[in-house]
Amino acid sequence: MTDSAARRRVGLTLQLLGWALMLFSPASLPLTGNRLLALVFLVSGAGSLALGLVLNHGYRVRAVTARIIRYALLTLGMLAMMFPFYWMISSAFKTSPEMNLFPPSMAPRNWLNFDNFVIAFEKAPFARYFLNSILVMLGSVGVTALTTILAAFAFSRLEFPGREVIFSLLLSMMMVPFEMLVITNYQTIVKVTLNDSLYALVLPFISSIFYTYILRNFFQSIPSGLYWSARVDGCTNWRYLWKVMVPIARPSLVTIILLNALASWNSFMWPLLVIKSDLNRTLPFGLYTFTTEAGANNELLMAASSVVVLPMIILFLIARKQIIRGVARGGIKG
Amino acid sequence: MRPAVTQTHRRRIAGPRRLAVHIVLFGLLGLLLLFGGIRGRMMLEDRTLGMRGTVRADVILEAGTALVRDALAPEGTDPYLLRQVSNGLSSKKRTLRDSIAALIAAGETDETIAARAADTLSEGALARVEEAQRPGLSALMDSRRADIITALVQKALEAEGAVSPAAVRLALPVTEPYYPLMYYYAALLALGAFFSLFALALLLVYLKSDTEKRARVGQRLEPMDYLLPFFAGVLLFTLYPIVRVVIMSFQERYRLEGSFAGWGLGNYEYVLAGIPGTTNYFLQGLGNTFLYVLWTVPISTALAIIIATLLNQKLRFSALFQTTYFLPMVTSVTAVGLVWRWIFNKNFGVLNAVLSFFGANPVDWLQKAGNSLTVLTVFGIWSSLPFTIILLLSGLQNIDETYYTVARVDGARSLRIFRRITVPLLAPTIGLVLIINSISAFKVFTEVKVLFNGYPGPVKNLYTVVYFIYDMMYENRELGRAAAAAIVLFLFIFLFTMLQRWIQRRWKYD
Repeated sequence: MTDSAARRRVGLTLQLLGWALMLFSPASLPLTGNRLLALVFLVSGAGSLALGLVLNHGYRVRAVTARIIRYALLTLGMLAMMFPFYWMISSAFKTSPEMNLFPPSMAPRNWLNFDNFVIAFEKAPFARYFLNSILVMLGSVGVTALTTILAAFAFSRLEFPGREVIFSLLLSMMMVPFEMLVITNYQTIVKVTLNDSLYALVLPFISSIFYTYILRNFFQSIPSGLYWSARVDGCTNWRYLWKVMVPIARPSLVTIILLNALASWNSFMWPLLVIKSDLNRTLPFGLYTFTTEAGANNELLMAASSVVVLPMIILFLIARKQIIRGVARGGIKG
Repeated sequence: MRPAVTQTHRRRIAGPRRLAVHIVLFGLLGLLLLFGGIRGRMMLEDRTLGMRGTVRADVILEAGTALVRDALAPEGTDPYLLRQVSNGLSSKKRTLRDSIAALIAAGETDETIAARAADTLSEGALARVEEAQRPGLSALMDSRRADIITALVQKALEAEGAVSPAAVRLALPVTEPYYPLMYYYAALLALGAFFSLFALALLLVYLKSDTEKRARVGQRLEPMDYLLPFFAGVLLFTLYPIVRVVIMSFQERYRLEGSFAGWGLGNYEYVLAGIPGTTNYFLQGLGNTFLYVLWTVPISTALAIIIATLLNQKLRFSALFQTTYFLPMVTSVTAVGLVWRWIFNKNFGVLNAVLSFFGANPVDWLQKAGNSLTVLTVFGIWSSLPFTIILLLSGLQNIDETYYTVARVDGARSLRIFRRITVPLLAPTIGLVLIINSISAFKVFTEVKVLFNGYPGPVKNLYTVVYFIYDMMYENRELGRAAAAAIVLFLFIFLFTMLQRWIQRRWKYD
């Protein structure tokens, strides 16, 4: 009993001390003129207030502090991760004078000020970039999915001499970085005069060893008894692949397609190398060249950046689980 | 179940038909490629002839002028005469060029053309000299005429010899119509021959065997159909580049056009040792890349371990937290890089605002060389966090729950649980994450390009390995040097990949 009473007394003291510190913190500013000190007052005040409350009401201190710390840390991290996005979008709605304020204003005066988007779209053909990005993404995803499905099927179900050897050779090729292949591929694309066309953005990526590897693993997890019984029933390989295997493997396929779409949409180095003319640029590259036209008008850049980023954010909100699963399984950067 | 007869029947039909289709398609493909290769080679010879004509005309004209001038006004004559002769020679230049072109078009021999050149030139020169000197010079010219013509023919022959189809192939501009056919004619011929021979072999099999055998061969061809599109891509854009880059790295000063100075280690020497007296940007890039890896990877992994542990427990709003933590993974580095550039802005950036709130002076993040790596590292940590968290989270979820239950029953505290259970069991995943992140951090390029406005740092101080490769390949067109740098990059990546494989095998990861 006495123990609990003593705890309450300590709790009340701490609570009072906390309030005092917090109230004193703004007052300390004109007195000492040190902002850091004021912040320390504020934080320690809040801490002691919280501790006092906990003691006073007899919560299980450790559990509560653990939870508070956990959520506080997570929220802090979340703010740090999200801040660039917030800053991008809020800057996209600011006017030019608002941008050139120091210290900057945290929010635009008018959240519905779409002028920057309009100007950005007038200054550079972003609609065209958008279309190009979508075309390249669709082309790349479509062709890659097709080659991947066919190859994964052959490597998992069809019998041919040297299958495993060839596959392990392919896997060892996976460690060669794209930055090394890019040299010859660039020369090839220039020499076959596909330079500066959208085909050049699709062609080198028509077959992916990595995606084939993922899909083959999935195909192999489908019991082969199913395959043989279908074969005995007179089902051709082709029909079995499209009527049985592909529908079963849909989750894996979706993952592959999503990863591929992300990679295609965000790719920068390859378009930078092979695309010259304005009308063939994709969004990231077009955005990059737009930095020259926008000059010091960062609000235009932020508006354009939002346009580039938004579709992938939407995609991520829709298919978060599949994307995360794909990344976790593949262990390569998306 | 259908009767077995149907199945055999179907096989009997499908097999031979497949074989026949293959023969036709591969035959057509082979012939098409052969045709393309032959066409390319013929066009190249055509171009060579044309080029020879031009070279011949140029040589005869230039050398002819020099020879006639030396004959009429040898070194040491009075400058006045020399000027007169030179004026006379240049007055005939245009007419002579036209008439040589006409003679070449008419198919005349070098002798005729050289004779015409010598005559026209001496005529022009003699017309300009003083009346009194003319007979003497004319006689001089006549005595030298034969020598001049022989010398000209000799020179023209030499020049023509230098113009081979191989040289023309490298010198042709890419804008030439049908350029790919001419540049890749040899590869087209080889591929065409391969496919045609394959089709021919299949045809022989078809003709010499009965239906049963045809069916068997046809079925054996089936996997190829499934693999063909995939392998076309792999061969052209993965296997060939690997082999080619290795070869290219030994072709000194191999350039985009396809010309190179010779075989040797010159590219590696340039990349690793540089040119004395100049900055070696590759070594600078290597140093920067290493520093970047050393800063980014441990920090982001450490942060990710904390965040992943926090996310792994029962959590309200977990969808919200997941979404926000993983968002940087799907957003374009280019777009986000521009945002970071704006955050790091010297005059109006939010980072400097925060600093000045605490009384610090604004820092010139982007323009001052000393800060470049810091900026890059901050951006790198931010953008590699989501991926790292995801991998660690899946590693955490693989840890058996019973360990925790037992520990908790024994009354262990959470920090102790973390240190004694989570970290050791997570160690393989952490190792894996460190390696995968290092490999991808080795390839840092876009971040630099975007943050520093298209330059490797404000004063060329922030080259990275890949930036160097890009610079060599794209800006300087020195593909050989880029290849040597890429091979060095690959060696590092190879080392890390071997480590990764070892970890995966040691702890039996998938």
